[in-house]
Amino acid sequence: MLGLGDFSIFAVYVLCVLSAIACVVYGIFNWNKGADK
Amino acid sequence: MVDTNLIIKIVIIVIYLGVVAVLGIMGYRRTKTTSDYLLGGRKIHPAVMALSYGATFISTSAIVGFGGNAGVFGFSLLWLTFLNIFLGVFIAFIFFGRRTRRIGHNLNAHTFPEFLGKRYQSKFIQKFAGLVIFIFMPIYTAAVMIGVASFLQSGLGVDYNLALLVFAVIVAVYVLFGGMKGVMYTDAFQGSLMLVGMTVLIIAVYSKLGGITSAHEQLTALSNNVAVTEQTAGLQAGGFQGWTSMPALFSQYWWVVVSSIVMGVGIGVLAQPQLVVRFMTVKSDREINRAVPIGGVFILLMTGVAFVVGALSNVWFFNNQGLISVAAAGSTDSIIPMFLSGFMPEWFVLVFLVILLAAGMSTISSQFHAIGTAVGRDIFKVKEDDSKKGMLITRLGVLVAIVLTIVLAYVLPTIWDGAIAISTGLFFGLCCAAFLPMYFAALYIKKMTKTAAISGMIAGFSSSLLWMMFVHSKESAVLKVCNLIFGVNTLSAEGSMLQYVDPIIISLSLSIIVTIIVQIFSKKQFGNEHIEKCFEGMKKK
Repeated sequence: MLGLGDFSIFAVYVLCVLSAIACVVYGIFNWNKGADK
Repeated sequence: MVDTNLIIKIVIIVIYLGVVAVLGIMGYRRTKTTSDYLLGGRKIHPAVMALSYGATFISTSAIVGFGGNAGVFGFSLLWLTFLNIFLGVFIAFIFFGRRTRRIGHNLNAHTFPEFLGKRYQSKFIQKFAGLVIFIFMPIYTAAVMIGVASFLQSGLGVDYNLALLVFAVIVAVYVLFGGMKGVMYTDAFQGSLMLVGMTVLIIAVYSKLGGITSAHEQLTALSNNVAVTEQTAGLQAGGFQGWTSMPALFSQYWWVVVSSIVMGVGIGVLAQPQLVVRFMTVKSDREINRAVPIGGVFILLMTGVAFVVGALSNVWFFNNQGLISVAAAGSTDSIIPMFLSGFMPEWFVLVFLVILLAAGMSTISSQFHAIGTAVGRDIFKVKEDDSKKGMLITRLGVLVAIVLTIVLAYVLPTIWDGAIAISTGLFFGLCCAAFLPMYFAALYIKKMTKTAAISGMIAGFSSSLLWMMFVHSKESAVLKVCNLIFGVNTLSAEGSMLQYVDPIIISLSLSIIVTIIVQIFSKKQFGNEHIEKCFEGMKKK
């Protein structure tokens, strides 16, 4: 698993990347929402 | 003989400072009102907001200090990166940021203490929060300044005291005159530099070590190498099980990693005054939505890269010197600089010096601004206005904050050296325990009472301070109060793991419990008119 010894370390490595991707996906899907003196 | 390297270093730094000066002047020219000075006129671009948030959060010590810690604790620190992205960006922006912006705007609040004070209609809360910032943040700021001055001393060979003074004056000028716009424009530039530098670094490290999987396999195999196990014997006693494994459950290292590093910083970020105020600088929820992707990727490339590189440095040090990182570098703080000097080409080392300078400057400028506005807006505020007088008072507050911090940066290492090491954890822990429960309630619980908010704040603040003074050995040994009264560094029994449990675990839990209990027994305190004003423009759930 990516050469990482411990499953919890593999999990957190993947979680870090996934959470950054989640931020990008959220931004894309909500790009124009919320504009609504 | 002219030192070509030194000339190149100076030229790069002069160009960097030139850009910072231009952005500072741009901020000054666009600052006309108190709202401009405190919140960038509430019209900051989402990319600037996200980069400023990230660059303020990530200081030199996050890259060098925590990166060096990863040289010892390995990939287990990636749990902090995960929390930084998930809690510090995703949850913070979407669930805290949007409501903070709206309520802050509805109540015309310009600082975090003012936001809490107006939401709970309490001058006490505003002044208490302002005092916490004014008393404890300068120690944290001084620690960051000392770190940057040390890098300038070792990187450029300039006198430490001169480096400290010149560096502080440069930051002070653009904060004092440019206000929030000056701070955020320069933050965005500095954050962009950090982003590029860390991207180049991670690509170089992985490619030189044969790719992602190969690099990790080498690090995993290193733990089982006989020559290495001899060097890590001391670490194993603390619970070390290798750089690609978590420390042994409930061991000393496990408590340090999980409670102090991961929980302490990972949760603590949610109630940092200098970060929360960023949410109030944009004009609508759309800007916050657009800032989320930049914030998430930025944090991944800052702490994620620093921790991975810190851990993988063990492979390079062992292959070249037969030693693990901490043994080769002499201390955790020296791991990243020594690794870069040997591993990366000379040009990158020069550029990285500027990146570390940018990381320090972006954090310090925001801290100066937060301390100054706490003085000029929260502690000694004269009256509600938007005039030049209001801006003058705030600027005087910023000036007081800057002078105080510079004096502390000179004096602190000579009279209280240990303060530098504990300053970040001290400030993060106090803010989180004192402010997080009532900040969350301010955003989501309309019936929350002033009594419950104040009770939780006092319980969190006092329990955090007491745990630091008498139990958590990292702080209690430095604060020396326990030693003065009881003749020992900590009241926890010898060998007990209690001394490694971070104050945030105890004080945040206590603060939440006290807030809930007092809330249950206290009567409604705010009229419907105030609550409607606070939550104006929000969908009813």
